[in-house]
Amino acid sequence: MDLHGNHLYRFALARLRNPELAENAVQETFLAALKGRHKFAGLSSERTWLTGILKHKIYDHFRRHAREIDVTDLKNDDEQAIDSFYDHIGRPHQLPRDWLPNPREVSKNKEFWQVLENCLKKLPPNTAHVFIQREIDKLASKDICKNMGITATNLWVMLHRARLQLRQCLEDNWFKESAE
Amino acid sequence: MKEPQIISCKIAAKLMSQSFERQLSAQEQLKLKAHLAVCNTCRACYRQLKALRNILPRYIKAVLTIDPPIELSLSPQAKMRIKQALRTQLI
Repeated sequence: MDLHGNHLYRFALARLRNPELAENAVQETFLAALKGRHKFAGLSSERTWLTGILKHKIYDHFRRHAREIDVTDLKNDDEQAIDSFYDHIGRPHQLPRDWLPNPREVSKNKEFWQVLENCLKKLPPNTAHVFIQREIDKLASKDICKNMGITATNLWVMLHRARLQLRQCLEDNWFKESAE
Repeated sequence: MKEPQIISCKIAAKLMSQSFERQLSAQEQLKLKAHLAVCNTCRACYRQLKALRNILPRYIKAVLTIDPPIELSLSPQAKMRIKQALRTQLI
């Protein structure tokens, strides 16, 4: 627990973005690991094994959360958010500035990840969950649809909203200065 | 072949996003290409969306390894609670 607790907590927090939920997920993980300790074959490291259990707990949470919400409402909300970026003839209200992140530079930059974290927090929970599974965990689209109980079209709308919003948020809060 | 109809930035962005999820049809590809050929801002936007896709998988690693970590560690109270739960289960 002392050895892996913080690692698991940060892993969960990065995905769930809520300290209380992350603590619960870690607790459930340790309890499940204790229960199933005879199943630990020692093929992977203890940390990898625990992280695998934690991932399942996190996806379970996403699934439960997705079930509580009407997907139609969600889709409308995402579509409205997408519409809000454009005028009536489909021109963006705010023209994108010309910037490009340098992967090596931003990777080591704590402030950049903090800005990204804040931008992710501004997405509605289900949209963020879908986006995290797709773009951070790189799950296949069909697996995410199964996890969340949504159609491919729903998924595309949610991902598109998340991408547009994140792009804009990073531009406003991070790349604005570098582009000027 | 008929000249592709010029699509709006809104439709172009939707196609950019979907190109990450599925194979666009030949007609969709043509429409997107034709739009990008005449729209600087969408070209910049497409480059940015692609670049963000490459950076995002580093997020978790960054959160886990940047020193000092971005996020806090488990609070002492949470640690105590989890240990207590584990002990209860052992009994």
